[in-house]
Amino acid sequence: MSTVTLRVTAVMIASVMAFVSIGVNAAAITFNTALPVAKDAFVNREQLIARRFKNDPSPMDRDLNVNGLISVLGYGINAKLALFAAVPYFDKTLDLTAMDQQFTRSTRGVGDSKLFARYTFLQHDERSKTFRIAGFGGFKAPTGNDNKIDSLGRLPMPLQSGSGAWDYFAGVVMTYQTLDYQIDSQLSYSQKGNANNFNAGNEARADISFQYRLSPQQLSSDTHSFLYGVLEANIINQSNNRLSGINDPNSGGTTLYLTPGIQYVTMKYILEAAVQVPVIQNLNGSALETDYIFTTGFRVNF
Amino acid sequence: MNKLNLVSLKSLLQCLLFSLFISSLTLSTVSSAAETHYQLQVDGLVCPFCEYNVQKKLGKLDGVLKVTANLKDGVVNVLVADGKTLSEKQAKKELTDAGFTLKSIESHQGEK
Repeated sequence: MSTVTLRVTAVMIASVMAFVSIGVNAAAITFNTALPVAKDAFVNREQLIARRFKNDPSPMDRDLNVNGLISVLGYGINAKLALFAAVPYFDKTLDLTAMDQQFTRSTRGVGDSKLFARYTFLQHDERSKTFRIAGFGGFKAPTGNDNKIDSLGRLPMPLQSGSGAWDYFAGVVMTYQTLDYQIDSQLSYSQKGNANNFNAGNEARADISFQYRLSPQQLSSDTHSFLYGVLEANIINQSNNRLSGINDPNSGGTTLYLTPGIQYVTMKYILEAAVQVPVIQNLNGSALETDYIFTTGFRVNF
Repeated sequence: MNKLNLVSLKSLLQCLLFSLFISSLTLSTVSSAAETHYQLQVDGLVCPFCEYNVQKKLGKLDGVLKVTANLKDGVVNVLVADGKTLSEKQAKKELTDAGFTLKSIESHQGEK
């Protein structure tokens, strides 16, 4: 179960990171890019995420559903530096079998919020193409409830809306975009904090996204909307969680996702949807495997 | 008598409409003759989402009447009112703030 925490957090981070790019371009759906938010401009992203975990290798036959709404607001301090704040709302339900009885435990509420900055330190523009590299860093504050109690007692940490801990993350992101296609890639690392005698495992990830313009096939002088086909890959490595200072052997591991998706891009808004399918899940012990992650949402410029 | 009145009224209305049409054409011609059209070559302009901030930044400048972007050619067209100008310095600053690079700027007096 502990791995669940990491993955739920990873989903949120991914969606937040993806938002980093929304200021200007189409961008990846599951991670960020280097393109900036314009100076004095705001961007808002709302993303619905549904994540299913069903393949439980243990006798508990765990079935976990996590639904989240991630609201993110970004502001451009200048063309290079942008600040972002993200607040998630989670609805988690866990069904499991123990002593021949079925139990359902659930929670819902605001999760931990994130604040981070991104600085574009390399930008090379040419006619109808651009190449940018940016660094980003920030923290996750424990704004979610980490002490929810039901009839069976206190919910396990992975099921709580919040972690109670402060996390820190940093990374670097690269974008190359033309009128026909866009490539984004990212490396990031997240250092997890300790709270309630629980320390989620740290996470390293590498992501790449390819977006190809499907429509219109030929551009005209008054083209103002694009439809992109998207294919992304995310490799995520999580170290073991620690419970009271001891490594949880049933947590952590490496997962590779392939993510087909679609984006409709206009001047003021972007609509997008993608499904992350785990193609490799090399998880430790009886860590719960992900079936899929469905993400849909929109972004607006204002 | 009534029929005559109706015919007169109809003729009067036709005259009025024709006068309005001619006046609007004249005004339009005078107006477009005084406006200045700037053509900006902008690097890094790669998708429709880019356009919004370009329009927002340039559109707020004093005297700017209209901003349109042509993604295909990487060109931004700016129409500026009579007596107003768009300097290269202004255009460069606004485009840089929007996240793009001004390559060149040309002006054409009296064109739309």
